Amino acid sequence: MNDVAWYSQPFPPDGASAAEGIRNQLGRPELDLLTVLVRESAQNSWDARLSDRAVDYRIDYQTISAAHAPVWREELLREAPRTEHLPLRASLSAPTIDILTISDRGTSGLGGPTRADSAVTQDHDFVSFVRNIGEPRDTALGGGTFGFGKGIFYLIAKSGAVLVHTRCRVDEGFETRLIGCALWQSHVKGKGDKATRYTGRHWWGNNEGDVVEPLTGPDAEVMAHRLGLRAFEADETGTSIVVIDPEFGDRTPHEATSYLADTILWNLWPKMLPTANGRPPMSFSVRHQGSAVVVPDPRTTQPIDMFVEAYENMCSSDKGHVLESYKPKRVLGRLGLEKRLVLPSEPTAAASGMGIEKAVHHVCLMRTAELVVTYHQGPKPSAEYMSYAGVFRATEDMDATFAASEPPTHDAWAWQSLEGHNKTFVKVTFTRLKEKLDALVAINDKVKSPGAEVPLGAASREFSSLVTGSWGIGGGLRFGKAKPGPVQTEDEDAEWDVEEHETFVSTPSTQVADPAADVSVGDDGHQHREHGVSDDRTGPPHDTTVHDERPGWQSLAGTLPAAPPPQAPAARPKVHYVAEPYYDDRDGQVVLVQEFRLPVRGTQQLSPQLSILLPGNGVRETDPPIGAARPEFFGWENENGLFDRTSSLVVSGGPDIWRLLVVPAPDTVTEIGVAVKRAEVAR
Amino acid sequence: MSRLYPRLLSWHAKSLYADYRELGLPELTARHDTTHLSAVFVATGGDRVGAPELAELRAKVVALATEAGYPGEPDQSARSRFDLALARMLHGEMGLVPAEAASGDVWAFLSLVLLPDVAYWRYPGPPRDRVQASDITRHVFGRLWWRAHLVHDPSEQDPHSALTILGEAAFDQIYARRRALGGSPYLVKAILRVWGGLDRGGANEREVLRDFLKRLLRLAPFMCFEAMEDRHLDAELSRAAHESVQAVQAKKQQEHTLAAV
Repeated sequence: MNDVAWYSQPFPPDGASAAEGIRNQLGRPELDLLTVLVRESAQNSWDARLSDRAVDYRIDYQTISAAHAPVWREELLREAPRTEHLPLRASLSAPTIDILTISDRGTSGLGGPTRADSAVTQDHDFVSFVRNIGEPRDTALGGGTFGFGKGIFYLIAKSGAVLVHTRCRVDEGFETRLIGCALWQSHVKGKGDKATRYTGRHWWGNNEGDVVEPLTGPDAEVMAHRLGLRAFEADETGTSIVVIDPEFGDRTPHEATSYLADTILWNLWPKMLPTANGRPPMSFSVRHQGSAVVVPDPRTTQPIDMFVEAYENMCSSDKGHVLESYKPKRVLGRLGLEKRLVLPSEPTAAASGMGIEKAVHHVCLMRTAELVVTYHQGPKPSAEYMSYAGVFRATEDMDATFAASEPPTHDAWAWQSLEGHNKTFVKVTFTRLKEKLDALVAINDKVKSPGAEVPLGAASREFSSLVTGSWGIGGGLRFGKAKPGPVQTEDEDAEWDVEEHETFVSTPSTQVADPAADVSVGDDGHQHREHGVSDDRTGPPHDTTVHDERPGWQSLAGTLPAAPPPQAPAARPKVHYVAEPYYDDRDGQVVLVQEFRLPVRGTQQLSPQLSILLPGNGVRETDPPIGAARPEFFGWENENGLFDRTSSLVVSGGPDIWRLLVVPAPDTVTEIGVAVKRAEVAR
Repeated sequence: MSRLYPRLLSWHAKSLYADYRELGLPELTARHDTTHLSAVFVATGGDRVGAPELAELRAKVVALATEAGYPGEPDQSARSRFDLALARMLHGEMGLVPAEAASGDVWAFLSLVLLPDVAYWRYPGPPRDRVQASDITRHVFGRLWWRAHLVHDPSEQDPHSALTILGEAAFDQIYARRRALGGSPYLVKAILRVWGGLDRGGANEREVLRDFLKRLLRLAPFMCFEAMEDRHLDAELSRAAHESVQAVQAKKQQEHTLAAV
């Protein structure tokens, strides 16, 4: 046992890969390292599964106990490289030693010969994993294809070192193996003629022979026991990779384990679904210092449950779609879709890492192995609460094609890198997906505005002088901007309840509604109105002299009450709505918040415009049910959160964001608008 | 089977309406006819009815009218009985499909050519829309067919039994909101179901119905009533109806208290 020590690999005369090169083989994945870790290790486990049982995949984060830590320091520091060549010494000398163990059981373990020069071509898992780099996979329809995935274990090890603890079948039964591997950077030891270059790869194990061999059999079991590693049952096979001193970035270990559980959900949920035999093919668990971290159930966790539903639709013969390419004619795969009304929710960290936003509109792409490749973003449904999820699985025939399009991290299908028919197949897949998704999103989602979008301003200007009892200048001031149909009031009652119908009689003492009021319907169903001048419903009465600085109106309005003094034209105040309204709470009260800007400088007066929308195009409720709730003004807020409860607010315009807070009426479509006009300056 | 009825295009309807203004009721009876020179049929969509069938239809309507007391001046209840009987008969026997029944010209032919006397008995000196069918929901015959159609439930022993739940005026309130509510037989039937089983606790029927429909209007922009199952829809409607009853009662109570003070 005294021969258990580190060995650093010198460059052989005929050259070798330097550690940096191997570390970089994964490239710069777009996914974060913990997600890559979960994806790569689970993929390894899946490819190593035994046919007769489920794979038990587990991640443990723990601090080495005081009982075991001295053993780690004694055994693992023997002949360890200096800290500048491998940070393992620093990691093991720290007050506590933290390890992250990724283990699988019910897998074959790393079997086969332990030396890379053994001419065994069938079962060479051990040398593939421990010694060689970039070997092709031998698993048919497996998840991995490059054999680079193991680089991730070294990338998240701050020490640069991992322990590989495995138990596999050998000719005479079972064998436990334990070896340490490290990968950091190439370096030179010694000076002048005695200098030797090292590749930066190190192994820890039995140093008796010409290469470092793993500890095997009882030696390995004793050492594993002394180090406190989880032992294997007598007839159990599998692999544990122990990452010494894992790197979690900004996360605390607790956050990191929660994140791992979440990312397992997002990347491996297809493996959690029961197969034909009623059991899921893989089981997952995450532990933090020995206590279990819950891995959410995909069937009951939003929004993954939509993908599960889509997956089931894909598998069912009547709900699934078959995607085909026509030239040449080939079946590409199956697609299942699921569309629902879902309240948008903040995506979890793992979900946003996969590109999921508040509302799901994605298709989960997978190959035959049913490991998530990526969530392909489809067209966004026009309704805020409408979400859809899809699952596309390539057929077995196409597996090699799609595999070839994947980068080393298996997280995309890039047809650009392919040639010939393969390129066509992958490209056409995305075209077919788009067709299906467009059709899915299009159903009932098109809102047509009735009537022609012909500017009638010029005509209304011609007629404006004919209307007595009020004055106006027609709607012809803003050209070039199409407007939706006229805003109606609840006019169907008029026939029956004329006496109850609200009529607005404008007198010269009241400013009429701005004829150029800009009405726009947001895609969230809320209407935003942009008022240049206060609406007569809510605007306070003004003095009889009406000032309107718009140029050119005097010649157009015949029934003007009084000629205003000439004034320099000034920009009309405007309201720009920022994004869509959202819910928040203030003082325990749920309020709807609409953010807006006042881009025009100068003092201006704001008032809220609240109403309830009824069916039809912009029909507002004028006559509410008895005692029914109506949307209520709650307050104004500026960027600092300052409150103003007065409904008519005088502020000055600028780049600041303002917020209008409204208590919406439950179970209604509440319409929010802000009316703005130039503040009346005291005279 | 779908039947096609002759259509009296609107300008002919208009001129006949103008002519009839000068005529007495017996003269109208004399002028009735099963054909009109200007009447047309649509090209496709069913079998055209012939003169004998129209005559038969006329005979049935006239029989119902006579039974109700026309051409005398029957009272309010006789008039509503006549309307209900006529609604059943028209919807049950004319063989119209909704597309055909949605055409005002079909109804104009009935009220101005085939049955001018009955139309003018029912509405003496009628306003334009009662006979010209410029608004089918007001037409002397058309509104009845549609009322029957909206409540028609083939699974019931008497498919038109729901006709009696709401009176004409109340039904008009649903018609008035036809764009949002009245256009869907499914919803109208559900409204009638709920209304039939509603305990109004003495509150004014008209007021409660108005309030009830207003509450449904509020729900309509985001609730697809047609997509709901019967029992869910009924539960939703009952909730709104009970809110209305309570609101109306509370308002009454408040008025009482105020009056007492």
